[in-house]
Amino acid sequence: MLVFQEIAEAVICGNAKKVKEYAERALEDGALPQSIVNEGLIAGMNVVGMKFKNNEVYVPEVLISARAMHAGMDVVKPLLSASELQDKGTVLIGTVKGDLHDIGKNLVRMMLEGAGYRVIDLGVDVAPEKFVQVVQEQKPQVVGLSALLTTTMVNMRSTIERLKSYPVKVMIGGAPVTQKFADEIGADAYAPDAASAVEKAGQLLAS
Amino acid sequence: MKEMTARERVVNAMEFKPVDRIPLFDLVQNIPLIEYCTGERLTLKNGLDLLCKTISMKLDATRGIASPVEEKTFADKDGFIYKQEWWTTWLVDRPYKDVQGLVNYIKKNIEELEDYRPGDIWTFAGKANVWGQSDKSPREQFMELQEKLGDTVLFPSESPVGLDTAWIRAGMELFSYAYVEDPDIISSWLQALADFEVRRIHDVADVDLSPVTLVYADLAFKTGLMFSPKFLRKEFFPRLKQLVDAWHSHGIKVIYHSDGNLMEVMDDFVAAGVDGINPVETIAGMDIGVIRQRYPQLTMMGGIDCSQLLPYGTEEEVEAEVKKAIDQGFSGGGLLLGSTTEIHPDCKVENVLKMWNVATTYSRR
Repeated sequence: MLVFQEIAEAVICGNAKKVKEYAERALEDGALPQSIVNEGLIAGMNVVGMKFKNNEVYVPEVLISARAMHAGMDVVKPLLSASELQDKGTVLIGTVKGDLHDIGKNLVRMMLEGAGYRVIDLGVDVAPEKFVQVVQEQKPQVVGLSALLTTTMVNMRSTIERLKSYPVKVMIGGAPVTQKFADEIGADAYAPDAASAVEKAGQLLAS
Repeated sequence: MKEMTARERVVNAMEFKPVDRIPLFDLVQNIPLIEYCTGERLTLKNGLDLLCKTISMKLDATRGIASPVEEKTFADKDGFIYKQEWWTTWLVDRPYKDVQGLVNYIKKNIEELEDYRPGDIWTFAGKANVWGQSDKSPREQFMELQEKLGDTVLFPSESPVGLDTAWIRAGMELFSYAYVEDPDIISSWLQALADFEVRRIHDVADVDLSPVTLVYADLAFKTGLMFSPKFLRKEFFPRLKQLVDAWHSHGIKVIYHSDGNLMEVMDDFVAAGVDGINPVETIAGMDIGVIRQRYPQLTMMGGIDCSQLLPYGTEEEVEAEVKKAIDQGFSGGGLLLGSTTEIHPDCKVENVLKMWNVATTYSRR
């Protein structure tokens, strides 16, 4: 449908008003809510993710597109069943204990939401016990840990150790983090940027 | 060549004139290192003295000298909440939650910025008046610190262009939304921040106190820029040039600081007139050899990775990296060697000492 393309393009441009308008029109024309999400909203955010990875768009543009995507989600979400909402899986994310930086973590949240995942965001300065508690309660398939500081990335190790006995995959990312560090601390994946985090989450869910 | 003073070494290196050895620069925030170098136990009370003693023994130039502070959380008069711990301040909450709230704050803030008084400084952590906090003038405070540091060049209080002051105070999400909805108000805010800083520069600049300053706004991640080059060319570089011109009008050289990979806009930095860049974050792809080749007259300051190498590397790896940095970047000047931002608490003491020892001996060849 042409309107899906229009929704995707409005998401890419970050035009929340247009996304809302096109999503409402698509529903009036009989489009399935899930199709609006997959072929319009998620398709648009996928393009934004690729452009971000290739340095064709930057942080503000991603945030504005994510806001536009949410404007569309607000229209269709009430019409989606619980199973449709959680279809792609649940990812629990947070910045590790001692670290109050949130830009990278928020970008990952928006990209994951834009790709259709259910995201539980625990915020910043999250203790290992809190990750464990929410893993027990919400049973996510993937946990994403963020850190900006070398002084706090060591808390990724302690968080992963606490999560070892649970059926959950852990991916890590952040400025000082590398694949080597991820391997050393037993993380299941390392994502160098927010767009890669979406790819890694998909790979972890499929493994 | 006879032993030079730290100031001679720093100035000559920045002017690509002969030096006896490579100058060492750093920001030191590592208690075990300070205790090792001074042989004394560091406390909140003696922290500043021991920090200065360490720097005066080991470094040619430094910045960001401050007393460590006790961990605390507090609110300012506008309702911003800050958390402080040792040498770090975090902005953890803001008094607005939507674009309209931010815009209202910006309008008020622009009025405050237009009301500059001598001694005022404005950073992401708000406005402060250094005279208001002390019975000594900024100059007297600088002289007091300089006395503790001996010969080591102390950069005067760091000089914000205003972009990161703005987005950190706004929060990146609200800053981005506001720029789409009301670009003029964001532009006016950024201009007010830059104009405020220019007034402050003319108030405090004195080449006799310090020949170099550090102008900053963090613009990049490890993987690239946070903002588009188009945005930066409209909203950032003209204001950076304002600050650079102001410092230069007092004969003071400008080092520009931003973490991350800046290669996409390096030509713009050079065009804005900066004399050097810091911290040359090698792990983010800032290649010392490439920068030296492309910008032969640009000074680099930093270059030794504090993200992986200094905390987790071996002494042999540190030695190899220091030699490589000197071989590629120190063409008889043009490099002040140090960590890629700061010697933070996780840097191994033996690695930092190795970095300093290798740099001083290897560069004397």
